[in-house]
Amino acid sequence: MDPETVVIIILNGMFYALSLFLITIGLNILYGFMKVLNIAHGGLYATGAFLTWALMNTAAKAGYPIYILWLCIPVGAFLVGLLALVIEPLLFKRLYRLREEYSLLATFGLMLVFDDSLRMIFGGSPLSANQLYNWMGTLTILGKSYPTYNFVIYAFAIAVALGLWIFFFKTKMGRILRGTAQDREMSACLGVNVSILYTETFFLAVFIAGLGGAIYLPATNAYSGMGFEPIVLSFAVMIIGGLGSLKGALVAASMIGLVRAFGIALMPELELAVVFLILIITLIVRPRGLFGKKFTREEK
Amino acid sequence: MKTKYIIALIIGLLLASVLPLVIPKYYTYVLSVTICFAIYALGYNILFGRTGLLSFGHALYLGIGAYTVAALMRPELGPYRIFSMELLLLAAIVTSAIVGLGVGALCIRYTRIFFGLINLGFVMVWHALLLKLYHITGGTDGLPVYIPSTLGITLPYETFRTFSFYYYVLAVFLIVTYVMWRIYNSPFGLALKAIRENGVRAEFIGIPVGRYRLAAYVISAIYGGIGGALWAPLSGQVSPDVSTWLTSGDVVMMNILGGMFNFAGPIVGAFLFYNLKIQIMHFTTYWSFILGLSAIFFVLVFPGGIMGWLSTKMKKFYGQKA
Amino acid sequence: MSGKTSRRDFVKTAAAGIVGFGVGAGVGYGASQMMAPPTGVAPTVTKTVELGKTPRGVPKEPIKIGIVSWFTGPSTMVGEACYGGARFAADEINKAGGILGRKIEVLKRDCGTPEVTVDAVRRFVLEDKVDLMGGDVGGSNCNAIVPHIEQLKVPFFFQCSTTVKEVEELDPNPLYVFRTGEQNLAEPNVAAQLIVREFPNAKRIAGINPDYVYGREAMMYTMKALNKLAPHMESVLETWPPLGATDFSSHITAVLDAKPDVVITACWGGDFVTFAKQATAYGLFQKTNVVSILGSMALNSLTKDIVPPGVWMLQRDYYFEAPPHNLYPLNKWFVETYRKRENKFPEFDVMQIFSGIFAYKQAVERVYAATGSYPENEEICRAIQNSQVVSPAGHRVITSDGQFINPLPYGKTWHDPKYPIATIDPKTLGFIMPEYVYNPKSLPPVLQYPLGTGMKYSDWIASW
Repeated sequence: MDPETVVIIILNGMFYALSLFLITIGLNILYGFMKVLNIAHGGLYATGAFLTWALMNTAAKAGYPIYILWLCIPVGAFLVGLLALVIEPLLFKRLYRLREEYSLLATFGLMLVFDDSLRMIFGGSPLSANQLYNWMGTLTILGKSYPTYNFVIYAFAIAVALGLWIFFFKTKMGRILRGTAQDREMSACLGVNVSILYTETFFLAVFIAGLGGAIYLPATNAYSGMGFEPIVLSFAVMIIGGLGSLKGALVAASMIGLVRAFGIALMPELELAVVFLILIITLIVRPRGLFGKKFTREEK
Repeated sequence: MKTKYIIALIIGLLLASVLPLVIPKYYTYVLSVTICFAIYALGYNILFGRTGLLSFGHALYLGIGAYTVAALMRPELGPYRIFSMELLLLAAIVTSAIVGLGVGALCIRYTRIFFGLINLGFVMVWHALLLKLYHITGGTDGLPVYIPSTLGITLPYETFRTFSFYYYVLAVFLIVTYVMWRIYNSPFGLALKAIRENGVRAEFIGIPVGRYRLAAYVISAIYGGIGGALWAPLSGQVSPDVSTWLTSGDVVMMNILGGMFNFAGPIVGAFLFYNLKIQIMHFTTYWSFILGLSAIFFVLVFPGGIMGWLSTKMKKFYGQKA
Repeated sequence: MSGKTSRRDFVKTAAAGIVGFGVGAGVGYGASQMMAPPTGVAPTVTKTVELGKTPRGVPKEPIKIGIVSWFTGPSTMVGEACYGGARFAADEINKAGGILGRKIEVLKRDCGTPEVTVDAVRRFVLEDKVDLMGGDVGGSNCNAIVPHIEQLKVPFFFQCSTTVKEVEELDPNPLYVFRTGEQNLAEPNVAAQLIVREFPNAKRIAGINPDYVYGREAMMYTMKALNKLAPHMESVLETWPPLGATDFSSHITAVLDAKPDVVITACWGGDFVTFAKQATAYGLFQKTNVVSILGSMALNSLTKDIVPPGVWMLQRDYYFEAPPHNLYPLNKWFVETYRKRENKFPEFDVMQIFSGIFAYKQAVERVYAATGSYPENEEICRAIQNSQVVSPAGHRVITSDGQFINPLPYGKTWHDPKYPIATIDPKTLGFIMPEYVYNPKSLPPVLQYPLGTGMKYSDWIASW
C-alpha cells in the first residue's frame, strides 16, 4: 500500500466516523442531561435527509442558484428541530419522569413511527440529491481523485464539535445546563426554568442529528430504513467512548471509522464484525468506556 | 379460593386443547409461535420485571436456542444429526446456560442503561458472528430447520406445524410456567424483588446481590433458549435477523404491554404483541407504524401494562387492599 | 417431453423468437393476443381426469395471487416493481374477462428476513388460500422458502433471486417452483463473456459485491468462468460491503489501489445508486472499466448525474428498449402502458411477473380445454413446464425444471436526451443468447451446459 492510499483511507475512515459522531453527540447530550436514551434519534437523522431532499429537489427543479441549495441544508435541519419542539412536550416531557426502560421502549416505538412515516410520504425508492456533490467536483490529492464535498463534511463536523465544546464549557448557558444535569432540583431552586431549558437542549440535539442527515444527503442518498444502522453503531460508539462524553464520542467514532476503513483495505472479510469486536474488547477491559465517568454505587 | 383457581386452570387447559380443532390451521401455527414467545418473555421477565435489569439484547438467547437446533440438524453432520426434540431442547438449554453464564458474569456488574447497552453489544457481536461465519451459520441465508421427532414420532409437514406440535409446545409451556411460578414464590424469587427495589439495601441485609442477579440472568437465558429451540422447527428457517437489537426490543415490548410486575403479564404481552403484529401486517405494510404508536400509547397510558391495569381494576372491584 | 430433440426444439423456437424479434411482432400486441396458444408445442398434461370422476367445474371465487417481496426497507423498489407488474397483468386479464371467467386479485406481503418470508408464504397458502405466488425475495429468502413451497404445493414464480445453491442442492427437481428470471448462474456467465469480448486485454479483475449469497455467487462464478475463458485474467481484490451499505468510499479506494482493469459489481437497488454516486466522485468510472451485474434493478433511480456514460450494465433478462419498440410493438405497448400506470419505466421484475402470470393463465386454459375439468395446482404446474409464452420481451420457453429461458441483454450507458435516466446506447446493446448460457448446440462443446443431467454448474465450468 502506497502512502497516498493510506491518506485516502484515513480520509474515508473519517468520513464514515463523522456521521456516527454527529448522531452520537445528540444521543450523548440527551442522555447526559435528561437521562433519556433516544433510539428515535436515528429516525430524526433520516428525517433530516428526507426533508432536505424535498427542499433541494424543489429548489433544483425551480432552477434556483446553487447557494439556495446550500441553504437547504440548514433549513432542512431546522425543520427537523421544529419537529423536536413538537415531540418534546408531547412525549419526552412525560418520559423524563418514567423509568429508563419505559423511555427506551417509547423512543423505540417513535423510531418505528418515523421510519414508516417517511416511507409513507416519500415512497420506497432511494432518493438522491447530487447537485451539490457534483458541483463541488473532485479534488486530486497526491494523484488520487477525492470528492471535494467530503471536506465540507469534515469542516462542518469539526465546527460542530468546537462549537459544542465552547457552548458547554465557555458560556453561561452551558454552565447552567451542566449544573442542571447534575442536580435538577437544585437548579430549579436557583431559578432555572428547567422545562424550557430541556426543550432547548432537546432542540439542539435533534438539530444536530438533522444536520447530520442533511449534510450527508448529497454524498449518499435517502432511503427507507436508513436510520437503523447508524443508531445501533452510535450506541456502540457511545459505549466505547463512554456515556455522555463529547470527547469520547469523537475518539470512539474516529477509532471505529479508521479501523473499518483499514479493515476493508487489508481484511475485506471482517468489515462489520470489526466494530463490534472493538465494542466487546472495550466492554471487557474498560466497561465504562474510554472517557466515561466512574460508575457510582447506585449504578452498580 | 384454591378450588376456584384449579377449576379456572382446568377450564383453561380444556379450552387450549380443543382450540386447534376449531380455529383455522394457520392460527394453530400462530398460536404455537405465540406460546414460544410467551416462554421467552416469561423468562425475560424474571430479569426485567423481577430483578429490575433491562437487557436490550436478549434475542441473543432466542437466537442461540434456534441456532443450536438448526446446527444439530445440519445434513453435514451425517449420522450424528439429532432429530429428537427432547435432545434438541436439552442441547439448547445447555448452550444457552453456558453462554448466559459467561455473558451474565460480565454484565451483572452493571445495572440500568449500562446493563441494557452491554447486552445490546453482545447481541450485535453474536449477530455479526452469525453473518460472518458463513460456513457454519450459512451467513445471511441462515439455516433450514427440519421437522424433528417429538417423543420419537415424526409427523408430516403440515400436520406437524398446524396441529401436533402445538400440543408439544403447550406441554413444555405448562411445565416451564409451573417452574417459574415456583421460582417466583421461593425465597430466591422474593430476594430478587428486594434487589429490584434497592440493590444496596438488599446487600446490607445479606443477600448475595451479584450471585442472585447472575442466577436470574441464567434462568432468563435458559428460557430464551427453550423458546428459540421450540420456535425454530415451527418456523422451518433461522437467520441472523432472529438476534438483533431490534428483535430484542420486541421482548421488552411484550413485557411492558402485558405488565412487567405481574406474573402473567409477559404471557399476555407475548400473545397480544405477536397477534397484533400478525393482524396489522395483514392489512397494511405500514405495520411498524402502528406497532410503534401502540408502544408509545402503552408507555404513556398503561405503564403497568394490561395485567397491571386489570389487577388494579379487579382489586377495586373486589374491594381488597391494593 | 423428454429427450434431446424436444429440448432442441425449444431452444430453436426461443432463439427464433428472440433473435429475430419478428416472430413476436407477428403475434401482435395487446394483452388479448397473449392468450394465443403457442404454435409447435403440444400441451403437456400428465394428470388427466380419472374415469368415472366428475370433472371439476370452474370455481366461482376469484384467483388470488400473493406477492411476497420487499415492501419495507431499502429494497422497497423491488417489491413495488413486482406488485406493480402483477397488478398490471391482473388488470389486463380482468379487462379481458379473467381466467375462465375468474377474476384475479393481487395480495402483497412483506418478506424481510428468511423466517419472515417463510411465514409470509405459509400464511398466503394456509390463511389466504392463494392460487399462485410470486415475487423477488432475494437469494437468502429464496433458499429458505423453496423447500416449503414444494411442500405447500402452490406454484411460486420467482423473479430473479434464485441462486445456484437453490437450483443444484435445495430443489433439483422442482414442480411448484418457477424461475421467471435468470438463475444466478446465468449472469456471471454473461459478465465473463462480456469481459472477454469487450476487454480482451484486461488482466486484473476486482470486485465490489454485497456480502450475502447472491453477491458471493456472482463473484465466484464470474471468476470461475473467466479463469476458463481467459486464464490470463486474475482476481486482484474482492471487497464485500454489507447489503444496504451507505458508504462505499473505503471499498472504492481499496479497489482503486489494486489498479484493476475491470471492476465487477453485483450491487443492486439502492446500493448501486449510492455506489455509482460515490464511484463517480472517486473517479472509478474514469480510471477503470466497470461492469455492473445487477445495477439495472434500480433503473428508475439511475439519473444522469449518478451514472456517467460508458458503464457496462447487464440487464438481467429484460431491458425496456429491447426488443426495440419499432420491431416489437408488444414491448412498446407494455412500456407505454406501464409508464402510464406507474409513471416509471418497467424494470425486469415487472416483465418477469407479468409473463409468469400469463404463463399460468395459458396453462389453466389449456388444461381446461383438453380435459374439461378445472385443473389442480399440480396439473397447472406440469402444464406450465415445457410450454412457452409470449412476453413483452419476446418468446419465453419454459423448461421442464420451471426455468424461463431468456436472452440476456447488456450494453453501455449513455445519456439520451429523450429520457430522464441514463439508458443503454442502442449501438452497444448486445444479447448473450440462452444457448451460450444453458444449452448451446451450435457452439463449441465446451460451452454446452447439460441441462437436466444434474451436473453441477461449477463442474461444468471446470469441464471447459
